[in-house]
Amino acid sequence: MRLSERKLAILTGVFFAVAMTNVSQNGDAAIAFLARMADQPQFVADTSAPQIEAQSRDNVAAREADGRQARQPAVPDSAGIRTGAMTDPNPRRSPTMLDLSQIETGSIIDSPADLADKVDPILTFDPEGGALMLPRDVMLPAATLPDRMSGLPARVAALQFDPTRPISDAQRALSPYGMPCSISLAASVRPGALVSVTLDAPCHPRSRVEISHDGLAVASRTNIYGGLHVLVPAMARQARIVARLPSGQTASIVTHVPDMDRIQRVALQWRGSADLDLHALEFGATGTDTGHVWAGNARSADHAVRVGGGFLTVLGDPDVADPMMAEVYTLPMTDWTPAGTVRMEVEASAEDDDCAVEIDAMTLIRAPGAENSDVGLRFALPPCGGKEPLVLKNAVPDLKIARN
Amino acid sequence: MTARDGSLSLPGTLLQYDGEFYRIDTRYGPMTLAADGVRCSGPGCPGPGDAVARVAISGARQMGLVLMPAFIEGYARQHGLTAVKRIDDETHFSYALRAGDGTPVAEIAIRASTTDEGIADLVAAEADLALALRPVTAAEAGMAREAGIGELTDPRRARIVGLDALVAVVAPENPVTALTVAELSAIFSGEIRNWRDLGGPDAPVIPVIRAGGAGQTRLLAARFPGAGGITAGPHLSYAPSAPALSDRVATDPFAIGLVSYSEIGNARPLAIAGACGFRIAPDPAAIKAEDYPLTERLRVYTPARRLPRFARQLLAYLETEAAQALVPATGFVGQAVTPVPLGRDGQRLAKAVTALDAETGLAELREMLATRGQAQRLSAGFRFEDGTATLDPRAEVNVRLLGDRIAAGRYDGKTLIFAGFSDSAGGAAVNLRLSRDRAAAARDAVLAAAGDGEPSRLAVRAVGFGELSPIACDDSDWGRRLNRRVEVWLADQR
Repeated sequence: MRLSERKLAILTGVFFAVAMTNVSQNGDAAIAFLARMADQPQFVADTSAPQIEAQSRDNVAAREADGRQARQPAVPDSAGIRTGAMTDPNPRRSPTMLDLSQIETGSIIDSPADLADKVDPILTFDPEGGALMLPRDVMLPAATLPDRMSGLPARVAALQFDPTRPISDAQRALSPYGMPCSISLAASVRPGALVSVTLDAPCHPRSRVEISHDGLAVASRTNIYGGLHVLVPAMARQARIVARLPSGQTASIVTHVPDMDRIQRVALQWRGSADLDLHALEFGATGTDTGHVWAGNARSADHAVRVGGGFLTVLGDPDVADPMMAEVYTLPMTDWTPAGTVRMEVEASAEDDDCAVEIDAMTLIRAPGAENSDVGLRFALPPCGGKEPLVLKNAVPDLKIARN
Repeated sequence: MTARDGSLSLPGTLLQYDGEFYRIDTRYGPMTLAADGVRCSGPGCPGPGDAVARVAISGARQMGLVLMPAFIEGYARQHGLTAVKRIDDETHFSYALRAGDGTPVAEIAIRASTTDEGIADLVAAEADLALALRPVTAAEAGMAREAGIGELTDPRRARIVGLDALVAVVAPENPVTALTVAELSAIFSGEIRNWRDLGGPDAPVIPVIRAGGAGQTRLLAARFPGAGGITAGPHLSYAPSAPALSDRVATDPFAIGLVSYSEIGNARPLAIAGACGFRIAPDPAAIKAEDYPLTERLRVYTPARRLPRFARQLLAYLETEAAQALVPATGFVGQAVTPVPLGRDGQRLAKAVTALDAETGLAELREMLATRGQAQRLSAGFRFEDGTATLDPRAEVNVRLLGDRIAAGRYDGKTLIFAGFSDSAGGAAVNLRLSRDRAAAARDAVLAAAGDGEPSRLAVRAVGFGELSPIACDDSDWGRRLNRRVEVWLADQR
């Protein structure tokens, strides 16, 4: 973990410790403060939504599934609260344990990777560790359908619930940093038919995220705050981008990419940790020429706008489980794009652990006025012991820019 | 194999089953049997799900590496199949096509080598389709006859799936823009060694040819008999492959090379000049109309035996407009019928005016320009066997493409004008009559191909203009051949 992340994590931990200490002194004020911090409205009893399960990950997933909301506050589960209001008129007194010494040593944030996989919408730390804990048993018993429908008494009870009194944190889905556990996806279009995608999944720090879009599919990883920022090369004018977390939660967003008919785009994507490079040799470029675009000379959409030529976008994280990588070459078509050929090559190097391995790849080609081409690609990495990388000249067709 | 009525039994080894036909190797040689007429028994018999068509394709490198993949992927898209390309090495790869539910449909193995190798593989029954950048030679046709795969010179054995051309290329900064055939020949035989002799700077000419590029020499010699050709010698540089050749020429301002149109890469193509001042540049419109003299047809040769149903469907697809629309992106020239803007014909119209003499009247010229000026020329043109009104094989493709478009109603409400032209050999009256006959022959062939369409949907005219508008110099055979043509013009109905 980087020092700055660690510092922030510790600071946040201390903040929690302070806030929680306040619970015993001035519970209402502290919780209201926390609720504001967590960007949540005061609880308003929802009598219309027939949500009857106790708050759970599945419930969150179900609500997020349509993925439309950008920053919808995590509305507490009304039925659960209602039941709670009936069975425990004073939810503030739910058991709240605190171990300051553990927090101050920062032990809880030493293993973010563990967190990634078992972070629960309810702020919880391992009971064995004796650390900060808002126990799961705070979770109120699920209201059953008969309860919900039993008519007037329950409804009246619900109405009697004091809407000015905030619920406890325990009912709220919060990340270790106090952010609500919703996941959201935002997108904006950038020059070069790129889509800037920002994923916010506070309860999924350091998580594998599958980003998929019109045939393109890569696996990235969120940072320690559950955030992820990627520039996704658009593969369609109406670009629908989907982010999927290991929990099965997905978020999607659709954006319109007007530049799509002014670019040529070639994507190579593959599964596994193999080291593949897509090379574009623009208009006769060779060797270390600036027109030789590859991961070592990727250039950018900005370069393309100012100078011309194409650029390469590298997507995916080779260190996640089941890596899904992609390299995408884009050639914006302008009035000064020369006629000629951009030769495309795929270079594959084999390490000791993947020599002679069969590669499962795919090429996706988008060009104005042409039909999309999505074709699977299989080949074997160089044999073990070989030092020469494999250069495939016929895996991806050259781009031929017609003379006018 | 046993006939369903038990009347005949035929033992043999199963070679292929495509769900429709068995192909078995019997002691009488390979035979094809309709599956619904026979019963297969024995360990080699296919199960119900084994109807995977296997097609082997072999031949010209660039056709195998670029053109066929585009066709196969296009076919897969059109039929909702998924395609997976497996690369074995530089020249061998294959496609596995599957239906949406994952059922394998076809395995297509491609070997990209040379036209010679492709035809050899076809003769040796190692390929089902041969990719060729040239027509078969008499020797190859003879071997094919002996091997029992039929008469390859029969037009039905060769599908024309696109067009290519032999092009002289130089570096983009080279000031020379056109060369005559004689000059080209002199360069490659080592007679011209300095660009100064060609209107360029005082610098040595470095002719580059492809190692083993025998087909190019043959094409040059066939189109320009007596022009010489490539003479081996120390003046020549060799490039290992066509892409390497164009890359080499593109970066060397003194180099000149001969490559296929699809392999121009980043070099600059030269126009072919005639002695009388005509220039014909190798652009898609000129190649499509075969106005460029070194145009070559891309052929797929098929053996005279029943191919798997999948292979027949793929072959039928290759000639469709959808498939031909994929050809330009591969660097070759497609046969799709497209309009040629009037501006592109400026040179030929200017020539028609300047070539005017007393014998051909101003009135005819005015009539031609009036007609042409209101119409678009279509890229599909027709050429004829020498001195006749008989269409040549490539014209047959255009007949079919135009006929399909008429049948599809693409020209409803328009007027199609078939405009015949002749060379200037012979008398003007004879030429005028010959050009009219040719226009009428092309019109009749196209209308026959269009079938029983409602004739009133479009108007059709056939006109002849004789030697009025040459597009090449009449001082050579190839120039005269180019001038004997029928153009198709499309005008709005009045």
